[in-house]
Amino acid sequence: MTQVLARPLARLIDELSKLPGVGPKTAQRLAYYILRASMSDADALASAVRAVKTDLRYCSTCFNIAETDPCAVCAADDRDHAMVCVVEEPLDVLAIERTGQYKGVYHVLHGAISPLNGVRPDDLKIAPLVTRIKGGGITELILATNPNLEGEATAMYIAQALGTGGVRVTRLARGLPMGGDLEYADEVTVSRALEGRRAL
Amino acid sequence: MRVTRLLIEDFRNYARAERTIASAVTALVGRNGAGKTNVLEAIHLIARGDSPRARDDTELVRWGANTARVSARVERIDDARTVDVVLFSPPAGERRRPRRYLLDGAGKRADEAIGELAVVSFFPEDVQLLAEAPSARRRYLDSMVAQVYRRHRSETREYQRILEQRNSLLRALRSDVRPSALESGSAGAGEAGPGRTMELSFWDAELVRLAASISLRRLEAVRELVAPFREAATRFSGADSLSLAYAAQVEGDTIAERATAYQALIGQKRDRELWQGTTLVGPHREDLAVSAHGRALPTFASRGEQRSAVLSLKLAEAAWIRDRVGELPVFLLDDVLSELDPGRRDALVDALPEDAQTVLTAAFEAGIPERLIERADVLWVKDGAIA
Repeated sequence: MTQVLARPLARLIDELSKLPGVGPKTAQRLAYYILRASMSDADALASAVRAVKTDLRYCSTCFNIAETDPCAVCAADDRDHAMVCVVEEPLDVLAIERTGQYKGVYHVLHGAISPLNGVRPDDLKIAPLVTRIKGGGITELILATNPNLEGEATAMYIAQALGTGGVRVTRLARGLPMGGDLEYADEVTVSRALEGRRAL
Repeated sequence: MRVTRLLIEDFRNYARAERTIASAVTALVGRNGAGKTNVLEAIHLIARGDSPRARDDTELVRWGANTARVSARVERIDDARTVDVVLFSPPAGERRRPRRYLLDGAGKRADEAIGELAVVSFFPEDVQLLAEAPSARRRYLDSMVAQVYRRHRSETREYQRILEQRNSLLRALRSDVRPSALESGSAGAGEAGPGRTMELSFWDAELVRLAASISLRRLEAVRELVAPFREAATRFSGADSLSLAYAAQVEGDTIAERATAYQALIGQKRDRELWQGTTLVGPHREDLAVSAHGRALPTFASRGEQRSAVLSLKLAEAAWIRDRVGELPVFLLDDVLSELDPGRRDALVDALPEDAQTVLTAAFEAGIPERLIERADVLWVKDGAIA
């Protein structure tokens, strides 16, 4: 059969369609866009793709993805190194940073416990967290894993693994979303919000 | 409560059928395969969110169609609402879509729409209920309890998720030889070392919390079924020796007592669970037990005796729903009368409350007892059309 589509273009379409959320049609559109783009734009894209694989590493303290080790947050002098916020994924760090309220440091677990998917505590960065806390200097641990079954299992496991060793362990509050309507919230959310009510 | 209007679109063999139901008794009469049972199935779907015959929604959507709709006007003592269920059967290669539920035309979550209508159904397959594996009886019991306590539905679903996670963990621990990074002890594979106990503890706690609540609700329901069950059984077969019990792993009349008992049982069975790689404690190992003269029924009962016992159970279920909800459920009788001897047929007709709505199917009009047919609207069903 004659190769209608030039081989380099076909290769680019194939590679793009492997990306999450990109189907064959979108991949074609993207590939033709790149084809028509200037050489410098295409080079910028290619080198950006390469750089995320070559120039990034894990911070050996918090396991966030960073350019340097230790990462910018772990190396910062103006952050509270006695307070550690434990999150499942690097993107969760961004969510907490967006608040602009948190001045402590992080610990990224890279997942949550889910035996069904074969994820056990040893597959996550839990042991390094325990070592980090035993090393001293940390007074509060905020468990900011997701409020689902797997996130709860992970938070409970960490709390147990630490035992009652002087560190204050807290869990993010659960309840109603801001800007939401009470009448549209489901029973579980409302009952959690009632449990976690506060005096004004 | 009553279904006063029913609309079926692209459901099973129906392209479209709409009926206003005015009479308390509706008899669907027609040849085999005409589509009588499909009407009962549609009402059952509206009430309980499942079909007694189909495993998959694609079976329920008419061949060649992509969506099916069942819509029912449900009238209760103090209100009336329209419940819609839309089912999808996407063409091959397309993504599956979850069902859509509507209450008075507004989209709702399944848990909100299901339970608007309560039904008690007798399908021919139900005769097997007492002879089948315990899982069928647990499903039956949960479905019944969920008609009255909506929370039961979400809890049993959540319990299922916990069970899957916990079983996976137990299986992984069984084949685990590497010691956990945090484990200080030196337990070998299959032994309960400190690290294993710690990994299990979250799932243990969740299991115990839901086990206590689910099993207590089942226990209380079965206790309340005993008296109406005995009464119905006596009426049916004169067998006053039949009884009913919830065969539970633990005792206790409060959630706290049961939780403590399940927790203790988990402790006792820890090594066996690790060895077998599966969860041995919880309501998924319990059963609804029917006995005669103190012996389990399935071991010796004839088909006729089993049918009587199941019918008695269903009549007791209707009485229980009436006591709890304050209204009689709708009776769905699929070809039941033709399989009973005249004595039992009369007993069943007597047992059906006069003020309850009944929808039944029969192959011949002559198969329906006179006392029922004189109050009934007879609808002729032919090739997916209701005349």
